[in-house]
Amino acid sequence: MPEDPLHVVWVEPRFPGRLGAIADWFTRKRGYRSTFYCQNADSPEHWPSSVGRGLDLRAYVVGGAALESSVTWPRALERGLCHAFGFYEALERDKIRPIDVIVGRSMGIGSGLFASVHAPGVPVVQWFDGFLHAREHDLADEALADMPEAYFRWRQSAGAMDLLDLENAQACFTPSEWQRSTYPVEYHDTLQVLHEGVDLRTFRPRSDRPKILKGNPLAPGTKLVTFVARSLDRLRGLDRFVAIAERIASARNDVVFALAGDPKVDRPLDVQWHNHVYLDALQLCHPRFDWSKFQVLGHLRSDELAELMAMSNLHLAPGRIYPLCRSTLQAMACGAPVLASDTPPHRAVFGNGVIPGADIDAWVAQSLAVLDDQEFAESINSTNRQTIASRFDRDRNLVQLACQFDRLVSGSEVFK
Amino acid sequence: MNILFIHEAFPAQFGRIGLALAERHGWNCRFLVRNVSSCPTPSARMLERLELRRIPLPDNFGAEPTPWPLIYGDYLTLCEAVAEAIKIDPGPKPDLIVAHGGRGAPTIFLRDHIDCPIAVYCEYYFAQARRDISYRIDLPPAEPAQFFPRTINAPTLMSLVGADSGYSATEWQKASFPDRFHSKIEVHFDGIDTELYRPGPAPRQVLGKSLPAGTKVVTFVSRGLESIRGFDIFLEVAARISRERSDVLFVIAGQDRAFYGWDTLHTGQASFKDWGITQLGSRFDPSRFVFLGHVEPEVLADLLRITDLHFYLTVPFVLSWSFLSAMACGAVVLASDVGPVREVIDSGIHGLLEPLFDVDRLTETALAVLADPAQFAPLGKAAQVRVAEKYSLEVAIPALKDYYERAASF
Repeated sequence: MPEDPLHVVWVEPRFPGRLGAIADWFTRKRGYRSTFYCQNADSPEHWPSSVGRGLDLRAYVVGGAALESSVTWPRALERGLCHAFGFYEALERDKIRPIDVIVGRSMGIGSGLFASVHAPGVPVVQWFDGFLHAREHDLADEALADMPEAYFRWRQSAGAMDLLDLENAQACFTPSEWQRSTYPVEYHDTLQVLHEGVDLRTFRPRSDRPKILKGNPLAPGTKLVTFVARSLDRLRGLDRFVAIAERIASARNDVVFALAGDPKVDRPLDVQWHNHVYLDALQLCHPRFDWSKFQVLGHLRSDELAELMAMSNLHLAPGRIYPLCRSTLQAMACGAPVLASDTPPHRAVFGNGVIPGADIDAWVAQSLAVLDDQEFAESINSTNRQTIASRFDRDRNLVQLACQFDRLVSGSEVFK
Repeated sequence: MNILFIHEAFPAQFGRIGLALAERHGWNCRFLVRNVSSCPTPSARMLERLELRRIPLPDNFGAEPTPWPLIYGDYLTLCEAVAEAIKIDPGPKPDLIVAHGGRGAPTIFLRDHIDCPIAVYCEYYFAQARRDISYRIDLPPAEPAQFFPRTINAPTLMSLVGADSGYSATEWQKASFPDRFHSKIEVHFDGIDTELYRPGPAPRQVLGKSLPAGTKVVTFVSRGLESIRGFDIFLEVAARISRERSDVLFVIAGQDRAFYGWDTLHTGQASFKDWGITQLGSRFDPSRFVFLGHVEPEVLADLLRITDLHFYLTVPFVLSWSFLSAMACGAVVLASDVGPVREVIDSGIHGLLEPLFDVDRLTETALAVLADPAQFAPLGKAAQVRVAEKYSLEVAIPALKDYYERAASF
């Protein structure tokens, strides 16, 4: 197992994002020095503990198209290049030495593409989320007859930055087989599947403790059903969750629903609701639902999220075909019985124990079965715990990444 | 077969092939093009026989050079225009679409509007160093040189991953692509018109003026007089030759324009030709040089028939048609010793190769050819045979016909 600490420079448009937790692990567990570049960051309460203690957070500054609040679809790569150039300029400005590895996650807007101009010979590692297809996956799977052609043009052309990164990087990772399968077949051998796993010290079952939401204890016996996403959006199935919740609430009056995530839709994939509060629209669609049973908790810290999930009697993941939500794994790790929609990413985790996403009757039946039957809930939990322990333990999975870093560094020269 | 060819220019690589397939095999070859080219110009027969449609683009599209971060946006505009053209008027359903991919074939939206296999012409994949626009590190640095090569291939990659198959003109051009794509790319040269470019008598005149008896003609031909084709190196060699021999006239065909790279940024001057001449100082004798600018194919063929020595000083990059045309005319070619040229010429057999930057050796070799043409004449003959056997239109058409037929079933 590689033990030597390295200096890794990380770049992701927003901190902590996905790489922040990985950088934190390497900093705390392996003594790495981490310099993390981002354009902007979540508020400090969401930062991992190593910030300022080995993880140095810095900003890169963008110009050109990246300063515009939005750009027309043919300019998406131009905007991404502005991010990549901003990162390059920050490296030139800071002149950090030495650098062993550069790790980037572009998401199409910013990457390590130009990092090797500053640090030639230093291995560049890229993290990939998936390759957009014009009319497949996420929301495009559903008939969007009213969407303008430009939407599909944008989706069809959005993968350019990923292809450049795939050609430019010395090592390429993606968290799941399904995400790898979204890329052109020519790149399948290039992409290594590695999930960063879940921090099982934070996300763990807790002994029976009173259920408290927003500082208010729930009545004894109250069942808690949870939904967690980065933002409360259609992509992760908020519409389905509300429909299921309404039916559960009509069947049982002892259930409270807790939602964690930013109420504002932040993924541009949902053009219709991007930057809007989708839940507001759903409330209008479900006027008879007792919305007092809904607790919208906003964007929670990791420890708060872990507490919520440990209290959960049922966690629903009714999303569309999209990369696995980290909160789904976190809920499993916390011992919440999880029901998930029948999507390829979910099948890879849950096998056949998934529910057709749009079949609200099936969701309600399964949900009530979990809430009614403790043994059934425990059987789901047992399977989930095994899955998490064997496949998603961060301490195990990131050791594999450390080995990859070690291999890359042994074949390169440290940038001094 | 019903083929739709898509190319920014006509006839470019596809015009002659399309005409031959139409006339010899009765194929229906249609063309969707942006403009009619002057390099080469289409024949009257092509314009008469082949169906041409224009890609509907705004008049000002491409009027100004596109800053490098915006080239992908331009590519998408072109892709959308091609898709719209087919959406509005699909015409008879093609069995195959063949699209040129010099900077990415504009095909990525076509599957929304048409259901047929797509083959892309994989002209070239740019390198980050040591080839093409990144090769001339001897020139003053240009700021985009570090960045543009890392992004320039975005259109090429997008079109290639979406295509069913592809083909390159040479093995070297195919090898420029990442290994992962090699199984998808075949090699088929697009063919030199050896009816036009062949040895034979030609008027010994330049710009309508007869050459004095005994005058040696040394030629340099390139679409643009630019660094990537070694124009400045040619000028240096020419100056040295002219110092040694008073009977040599240097005839140069090509536009005073850089089509590739950053010659303006390298030199700080608008004209690389002028910059190159300036470098020679008083060694440049204008009476020894004739600049023809762009010439029509027939004029070029006549020039290549009378040349005593043809220079081809490219960096490692896509081969120029003029190089093979000179060989087809039986000219003795002195070329840079780089990969794409070595694929065509075995030095000392079909021509002569010397290191690109070694002006001493280039000069010595040139002087040797000019001093004893008979000794080197077999090289010209071998060059002509080489083109006839491997790069002529007659050889290319059956191979491309076979490929297109197979590609239509992919």
